[in-house]
Amino acid sequence: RWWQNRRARLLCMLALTFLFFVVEVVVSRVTSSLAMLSDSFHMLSDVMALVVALVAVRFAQRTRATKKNTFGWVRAEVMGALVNAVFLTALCFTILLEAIERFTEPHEIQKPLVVIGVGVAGLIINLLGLCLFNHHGVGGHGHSHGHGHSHGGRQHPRSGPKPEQPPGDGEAALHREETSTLVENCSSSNGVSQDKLGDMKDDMTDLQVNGNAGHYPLDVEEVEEDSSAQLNMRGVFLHVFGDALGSVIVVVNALLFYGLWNPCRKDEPCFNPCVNNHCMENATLSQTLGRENKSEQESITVAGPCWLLYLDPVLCLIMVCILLYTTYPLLRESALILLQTVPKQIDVHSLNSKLRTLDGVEAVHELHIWQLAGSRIIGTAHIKCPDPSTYMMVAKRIKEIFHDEGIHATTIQPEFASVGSESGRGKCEFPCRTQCALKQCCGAGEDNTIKKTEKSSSISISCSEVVIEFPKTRRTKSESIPSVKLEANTDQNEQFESSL
Amino acid sequence: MGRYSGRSSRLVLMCVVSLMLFAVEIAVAHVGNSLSLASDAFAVLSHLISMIIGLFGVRFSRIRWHKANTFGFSRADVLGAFGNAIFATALMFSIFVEAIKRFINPQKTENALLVLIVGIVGLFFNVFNYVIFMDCCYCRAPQGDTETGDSPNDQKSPEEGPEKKKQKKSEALNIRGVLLHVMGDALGSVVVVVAATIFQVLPLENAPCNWQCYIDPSLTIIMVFIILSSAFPLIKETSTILLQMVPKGVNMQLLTDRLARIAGVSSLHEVHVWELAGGKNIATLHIKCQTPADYQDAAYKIRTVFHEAGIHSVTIQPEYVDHKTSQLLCSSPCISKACDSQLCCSQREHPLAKTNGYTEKNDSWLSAQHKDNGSSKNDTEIPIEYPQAEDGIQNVKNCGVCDDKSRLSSTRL
Repeated sequence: RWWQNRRARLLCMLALTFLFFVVEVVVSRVTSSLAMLSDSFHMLSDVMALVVALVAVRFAQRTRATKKNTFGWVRAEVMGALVNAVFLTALCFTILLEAIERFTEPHEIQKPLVVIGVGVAGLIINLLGLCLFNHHGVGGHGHSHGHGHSHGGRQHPRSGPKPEQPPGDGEAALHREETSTLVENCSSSNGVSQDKLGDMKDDMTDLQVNGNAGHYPLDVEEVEEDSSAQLNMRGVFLHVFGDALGSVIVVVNALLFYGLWNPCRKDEPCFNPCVNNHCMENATLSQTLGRENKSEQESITVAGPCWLLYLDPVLCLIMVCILLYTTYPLLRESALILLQTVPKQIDVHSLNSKLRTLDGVEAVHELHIWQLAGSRIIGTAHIKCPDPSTYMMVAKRIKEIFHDEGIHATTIQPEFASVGSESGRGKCEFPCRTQCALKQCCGAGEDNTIKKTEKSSSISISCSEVVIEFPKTRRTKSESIPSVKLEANTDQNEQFESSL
Repeated sequence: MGRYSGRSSRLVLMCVVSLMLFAVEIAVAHVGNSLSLASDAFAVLSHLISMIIGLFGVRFSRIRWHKANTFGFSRADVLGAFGNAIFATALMFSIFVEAIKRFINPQKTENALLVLIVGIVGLFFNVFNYVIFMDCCYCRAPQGDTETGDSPNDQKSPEEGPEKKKQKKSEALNIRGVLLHVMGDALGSVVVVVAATIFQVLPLENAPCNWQCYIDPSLTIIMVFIILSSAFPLIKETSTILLQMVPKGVNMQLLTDRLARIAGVSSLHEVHVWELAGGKNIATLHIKCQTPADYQDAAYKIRTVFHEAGIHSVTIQPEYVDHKTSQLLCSSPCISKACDSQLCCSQREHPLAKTNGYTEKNDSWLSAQHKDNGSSKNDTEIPIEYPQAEDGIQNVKNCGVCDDKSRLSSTRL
């Protein structure tokens, strides 16, 4: 269904709002009402917010890595949400300034009927927008539309001979192959025949069909999509909500004005106590009274209740407060993602300790967890192990630990401690050269043991401040491993793969 | 750092003065009905915000590692600058709208003398601002000064030739940018003064608006464009960092070419390069080697290549080649294929993966698969890595856990 598509919704609302903006401008020229002109420009700001959200959605659909952005553009929606939130804050600020101005110089509303009419029309459009962008609805409708980057590769369930294949088997197959690729026994791979491979493939399929993994990839896709898209839509929703509040205020104000205000008509002598300054009140009063004939004093109309004039700024202030209160969480969330903070549900300390307590892991440093967008969480770590074979054994365990926390894209760098060092904590075996210390993302001045030419024994500051232990042994060059070079490394047959 | 105390107190002083000036300017703009003064006030406000962000940035950037943020808060500056630029753009947009309204409905500037005085005060304030911050921030490469965008590295360590030249050039550009910026702000105050002077010299007591009334909006529009012209580059710069884009000085193609040629590296994939903030570049990649010995050797060379490219924090994940797996695919993505959608980049595509001239067994199949990359709707299945060894089944958690975690995360955010 088209209306469940994010882009379609945004485009529809964009068209409506722009149309309404044009209508309002025309009406304001016809009735030469300045208030309507300013309200129409609020609609224009709405249009801009929608444009920002649309651009973000367009960008975020390109999840593939490009030359300019190795992560794809998934983060664009978070940025769109932030831009909208800041924009909304700026809008609130200008409304606040205007309201303060109105307090000092209250205006009457000219032609309240027209204002009511246009206000109601704007309110209807905004309510429509609210329904469109109700962000609770965004999460539910994900299943039916085939998005550009939904999994095309989902295999169709084969109602085949093995529906009862225990899911453990398929998973185990995966795990076995995981371990084997990490273990360097390349020779064992030669013996597998083609039909056995075919069988295993079926297992995979059935695994995906059975269990909760059946409908699975699409579900995950949608959930993940919505999580970062949700932010974007929330931004738009808040914008439309603010506009709706504005329309409500305009309508309420105009209605009350129309009903209760006793205006100064031009032909009658009239005294308006509300519009002047306090200081000038007496002067004007005396002036007005002076100008009139004393006999006509009783027929002076006094313009209507003054509090009505202050209703507008007061309502505006309330609206600003409501808007800021609802915008702040959005601002915070998108800012935290952009700041590379650890997602809220992950406790880095406990993760660190889980990793460190593994057998074969001597030290963990440069542990970084951050959220790209939505549920794509990325982690990197340097794991210090005594030797490569130990590392092979723990590598899968490490990945599992990360997986359990919800971090699926990890880069684990193994470092092999020099022979005979017990403490082995905190120092990167492979830092950059010492003068790059300040340009590294974290940590400074570490010992560089890999460099064959220079040996620098500078003071080492551990990369991770969680770890507080002083390495006792001096770092020597790591174990000399005979360098086995690959022959036939010529560049002739370089395949250039690029996803451009 | 020695600069901390002096700069911080100056920042605080300037913040207070800016706040007062902003309040005065806005009030007088309202009284005198001068739009250009209002736009100048907003410019002062945006500078105030950037100074506040600078203050917080200085405090935050000293945190190296925090439970909530494994990278420290050095990015707060960048984010703050971005937010400030967007805020300024929005304010300028509202001023622009006001100016259009004034064209339709011209109004005169009253109390021209008052406006003139305040305009001159604003002009002096701009110069004052520049003078106060010049020695600490503008001439040397400023750190965390959000008005000038990212903080370039302020350590003049002995680098290799090209690096030094790059640094000098970036400093010169920086100073030029700052000067332009300051001139732009000064121009804003000049505009105010000019508009007010005209009204002061040729007062329009009760006469209807003539050409004089159009000067204010037109000069205001000029000012809006000046301010926007300094905000947009800042937005571009900071969004490059915030979107995890490849930093400006890095050429990915060249880099991956060089990396792929290193002996010992069979192929590489999942190459990611991004900038944390202020010149700190970070890279991660997965390489496929034949043996651990290859890996040790290659690791050093890889780091050299990255170092020359200006990237100093590198995390390399070695994977060992076996003939079943395609050269270009990760041998160890998450533990289950079903987590693919939560990987930072889907395994079904091959972003920037390169082989090292290694002739693939399934060459034709691979190339066919790559041609499919354009439309991700195709049924390209990741070649399942088939089990061979007999290791015991451990921890059979399928990706139901992935799913749960992701759902949890989306609601708890």
